[in-house]
Amino acid sequence: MALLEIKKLSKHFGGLAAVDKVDMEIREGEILGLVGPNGAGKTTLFNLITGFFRPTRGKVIFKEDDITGLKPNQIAEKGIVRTFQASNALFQQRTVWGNVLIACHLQFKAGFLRVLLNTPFARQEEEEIRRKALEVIEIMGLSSVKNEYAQNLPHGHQRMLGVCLALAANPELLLLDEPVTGLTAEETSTFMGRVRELRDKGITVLLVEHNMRAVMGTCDRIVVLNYGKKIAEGSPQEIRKNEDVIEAYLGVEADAT
Amino acid sequence: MPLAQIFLNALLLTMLYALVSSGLTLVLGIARIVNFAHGALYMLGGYIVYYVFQEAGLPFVAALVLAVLGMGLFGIFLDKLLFRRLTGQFFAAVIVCLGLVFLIEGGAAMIFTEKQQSLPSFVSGTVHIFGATLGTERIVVIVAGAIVMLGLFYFINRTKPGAAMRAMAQDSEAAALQGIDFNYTSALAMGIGCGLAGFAGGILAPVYGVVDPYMGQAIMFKAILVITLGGFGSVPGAFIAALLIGLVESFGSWYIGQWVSAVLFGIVIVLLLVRPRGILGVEYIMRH
Amino acid sequence: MRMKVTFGLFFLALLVSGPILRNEPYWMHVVIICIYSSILAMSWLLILRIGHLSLAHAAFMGIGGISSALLVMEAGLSFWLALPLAGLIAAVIALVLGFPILRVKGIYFLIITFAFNELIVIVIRNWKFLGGYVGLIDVPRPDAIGGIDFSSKVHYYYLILFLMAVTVIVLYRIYSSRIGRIFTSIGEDEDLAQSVGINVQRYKLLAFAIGCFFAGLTGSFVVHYLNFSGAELFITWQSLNIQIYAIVGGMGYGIGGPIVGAFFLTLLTQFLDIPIKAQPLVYAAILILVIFFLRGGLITLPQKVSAGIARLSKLWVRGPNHGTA
Repeated sequence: MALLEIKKLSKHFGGLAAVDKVDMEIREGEILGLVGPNGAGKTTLFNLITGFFRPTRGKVIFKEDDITGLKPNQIAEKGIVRTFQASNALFQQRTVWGNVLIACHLQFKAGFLRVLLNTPFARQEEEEIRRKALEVIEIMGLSSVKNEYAQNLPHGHQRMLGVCLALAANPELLLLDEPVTGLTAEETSTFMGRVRELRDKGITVLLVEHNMRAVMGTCDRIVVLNYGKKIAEGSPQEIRKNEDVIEAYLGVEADAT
Repeated sequence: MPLAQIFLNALLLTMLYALVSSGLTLVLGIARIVNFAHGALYMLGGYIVYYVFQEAGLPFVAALVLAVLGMGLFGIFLDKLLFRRLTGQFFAAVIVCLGLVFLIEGGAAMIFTEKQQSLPSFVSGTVHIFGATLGTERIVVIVAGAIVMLGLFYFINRTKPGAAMRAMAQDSEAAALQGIDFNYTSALAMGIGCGLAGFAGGILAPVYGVVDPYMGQAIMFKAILVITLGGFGSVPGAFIAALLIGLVESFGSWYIGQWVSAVLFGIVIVLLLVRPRGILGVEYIMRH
Repeated sequence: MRMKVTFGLFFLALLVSGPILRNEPYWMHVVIICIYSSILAMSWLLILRIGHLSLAHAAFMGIGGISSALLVMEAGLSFWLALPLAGLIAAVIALVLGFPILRVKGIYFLIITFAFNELIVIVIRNWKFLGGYVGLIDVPRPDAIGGIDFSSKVHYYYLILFLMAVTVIVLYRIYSSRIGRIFTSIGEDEDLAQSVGINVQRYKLLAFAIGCFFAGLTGSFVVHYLNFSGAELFITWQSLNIQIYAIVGGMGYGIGGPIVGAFFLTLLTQFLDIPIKAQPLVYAAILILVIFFLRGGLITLPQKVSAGIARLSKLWVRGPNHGTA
């Protein structure tokens, strides 16, 4: 069943089409890989889905709901949460724990006045959510560093924290933007293992990545973009043999397995 | 016939605003800082001319050259001492520049006293054009201003250092890759930008006839309006905007007097909300 | 943490007992200025927390002040009604203005608030009803309640102290709660905050409205205290003044910083007998020095000093060559 449908989605900057009439769908419970050479439009597509860009044309439909043009926080509320490419997309001055607590925002129900007056309801909720935050930290294996400042973490942990933040927002669909860039082979495989664990827990994942090995090994299906257009779609085996894809990656072949 | 009078007055304002604003926008493009103290440099330029021309009795041109050089060097000094240390720190840079205004004005008030000082024009006589009567110095300023602006355009568009400045303003990373000497280009840009402020202050002091420590404030506001309208970082944009603002202000104060300032402030606000890019500016990215 | 609380209580005790210890109008006047300046600085800092540097804080003070004066003088309301209304009016205008302007980036927001402050000043100066060039004179004192008729400075003193207490309590609750976390996260990284579901626009408006509410409240106090409301009280330089208090005191501490800054600078001006004309110069010089050498503000000074002493004493005990191979 299609969780997310993208219909003829386009984004133009000036005269340039960064994303050009893309049609695709993400099925519930799958890990979908989005690949393509640099500048193919992958991050733009992300931005379009999550509301950071307004599409020039086309629609994004999530669970039968048209979410085109909604603001990022509204889309997060609906259940689509993303990570950011730059590993410094964290609240640098806070600890791991502080970061995750903020990200739990959507789980809070108490309104402004209740919080201000420190009512029992607000206090109770705060405690509950603090516990949930600790759980999320454990799931991603960051318990040992939970009191470290985000800016002091090593790369691998920073990436995990980014995913942690996204998880704390209770997503049904998780969008990971190049999460393993710059990680060692070992860190990458640990990370990918966790992604599979998340899928097993019921979260659908859209993964943008350059690292072909990681993508081939983890994804159920792959969509390939080039110059803003979708040029191929299918299982990892099919994609590996696809001529258009190979041509697009000519020169980048050395990186692929 | 007031029409010609108003129009010529507008031209004078245009030159004033164009000179000050292109300096400001130049500095903005390079140091990525809106130097709120730019108006104070205009004021100091005026005072240099006051002391050298009026008090010391030296020829006006000498005084003007000193104003330009003085402010140019001061600008480079400010850049090296302060602005360089604040790259990437938006709030700190803003606060420092705002603080600088009061530092410089306060210092001027203490050293030069708060009183307005008067100085005579550098050339006497009046000119009659199209039925309007203007002091000769105003015509001189208009012409001199135009020449300086033309020189600036030529420099920015036709010379290597100018091209380097444009490259730095648009994309400093790409510029670095092209091997542009940042230190030299920055210093040059700061020197020229602040020198322009000094020039404007110096040449207009005798025209308005007075200098006081706070005369930079009104200019500063207009300069911000101009670079906003023209587009942050764009010198030709600044010129066009200066022309528009000069016309609005000149005609406006004739017909609605004091309220023209309010109108101008309102225009800035609306402008920034609707099209912060301005006429010709490229909305550059403020990197954190 | 305990240090902060004890020091805070001690400071509070000092303030409360001030007029009793030294019942002298001049000093009460100075401390009153310190107190309302700290309210302004604290409320301004709240707006900075969400990532916006506002140069319009003095204008909102003016909106509150003039509203209050007019409500009392023209509409015949009691001061005690006009005071909160002044704050509310300022808050409402902040909401209306904030709606479009909080969406734009830092530098544009700055210029807009600057332009707004200037605009308000021009409007005040050119409209007789709001005071014109002369201003509103004979703004009445607060209505008498109980035996307090505001004929003496002491009455004003305790009124403003009360207002400061209210401000501190509200801000304390905000900063120590989830709301405060949300505000600061917006200031740190708006996009990230959005992506975890925070409605950035709504919270920005909230912070802006609260900040301007307290500015308006203070404005009301000031005009009824000075019995005067003139444009010169609300000029853009005042906005900058407010910033200087907060920054010199310490931007990192939402309540303590502005209080330290406001008290320090105001008292400094008194102690050193700095002429009004030199005040901007002195304040600006201190501001720039703080930005370059003590970014955290004066409030971090004890911390830095004790850290420095600790390091020095370690050196003294071990000797400079200890530990080298």
